Amino acid sequence: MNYNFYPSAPSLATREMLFIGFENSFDENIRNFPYQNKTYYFEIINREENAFRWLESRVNDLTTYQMPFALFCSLKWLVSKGFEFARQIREHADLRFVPFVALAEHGETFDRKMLLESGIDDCYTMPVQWNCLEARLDFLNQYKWKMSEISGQLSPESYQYRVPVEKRIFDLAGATLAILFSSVIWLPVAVSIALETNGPLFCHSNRMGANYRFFYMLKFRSTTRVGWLIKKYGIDELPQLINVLRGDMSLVGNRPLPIYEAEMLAHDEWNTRALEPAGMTGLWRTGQLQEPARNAEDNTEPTHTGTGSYTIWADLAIILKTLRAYVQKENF
Amino acid sequence: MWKITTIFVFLWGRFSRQFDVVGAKNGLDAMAWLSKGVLPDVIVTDVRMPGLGGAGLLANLRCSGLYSGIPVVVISDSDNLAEEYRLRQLGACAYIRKPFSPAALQEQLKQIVG
Repeated sequence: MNYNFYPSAPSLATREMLFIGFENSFDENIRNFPYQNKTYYFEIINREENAFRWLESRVNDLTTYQMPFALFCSLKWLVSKGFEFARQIREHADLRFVPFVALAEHGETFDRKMLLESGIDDCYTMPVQWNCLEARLDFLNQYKWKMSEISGQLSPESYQYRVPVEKRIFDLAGATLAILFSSVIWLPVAVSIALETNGPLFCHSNRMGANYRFFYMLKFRSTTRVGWLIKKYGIDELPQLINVLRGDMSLVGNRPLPIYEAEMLAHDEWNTRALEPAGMTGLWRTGQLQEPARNAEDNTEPTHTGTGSYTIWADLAIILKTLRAYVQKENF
Repeated sequence: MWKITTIFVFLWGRFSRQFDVVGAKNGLDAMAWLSKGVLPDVIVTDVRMPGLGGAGLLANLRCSGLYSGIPVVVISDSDNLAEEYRLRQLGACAYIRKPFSPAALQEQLKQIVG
């Protein structure tokens, strides 16, 4: 038979399939094979070069060009040829997009990874249901070309927050300065806490930072007489500057959610929160966001988007607003 | 793309300490990733994704010879019982409604992975 000659172009609706390495009775192993369905046309060719020529004849001539619907190979046959045939198909400009399925006999073992790397799209152990095969082949015919172009995996940059270098520098410089300026407060507070109670100086609570990482947020312990004063003037929050230096949080960012709030809901929108650092202050503190945000849906508004739109000036403006609000509240 | 990956930010952040978490932005990307020869212990997928959605992905995995055994957990924001029924028929081993508790998801994953 001359494979370069094709008597008439197949109808575009025809789905041509080639079976390689099968006996004539192969269909015992494919249940409900569509013999009656005129849409399907199949051929069995067991010689490597003839099979390749048959496939090429479908795509060599533009006037009769039609990609075969599927290529089925008996796994035993493929192995006996050392996967050379699979390599040829994989390297062919057009044929590499033809869905390529290996059919293993009952009990025959195979190496999944090796099969996929050889360019085989799927492997079934016979007997197999035709409707199952058909659904898979429909998908492969539609998308195989596209799948070869995508890596599939998200790159870490697309879902992980990285602190911009200038923000980190700003945080380090700001926190250091703030600690220096407030050092006159730290010592008396520490001494008075130590005098009034026996416990530790700091207490800590588990809060959520960027990338959904939890950290221990430090506070001065404020449970006794000194406590209310510390709380009233927000002095209990000063140790968070240590968290800033450590990189757990930023000067400006989202409200650091306690673990029970963070665990409460997982709305898509809400999770933009994880793409931002937690902060000592932020829009939530300057009254530009509703707070307290007990309902997670209130937290949709981010302080900054974690993707490069950060500016030092925005942070600085929020810090100044916070300070102004603080001074006004205390009527200094 | 943004919204799709944000649920992943959560899953990755919450579970990457216990599991080796890999993300794909839709069903097609997931299939492309699988075709590289990796075999995950479990797939957690949203129902609504651009392109190939959760149901399409699930149907595709189930009719495949190589991937039909991978357990699939489906996350949905719908309270449509018919959808849950259809996805379970397709072979989803768990159907989780948003909003969901991360602890409950973790429990499911532990049961599946063992």
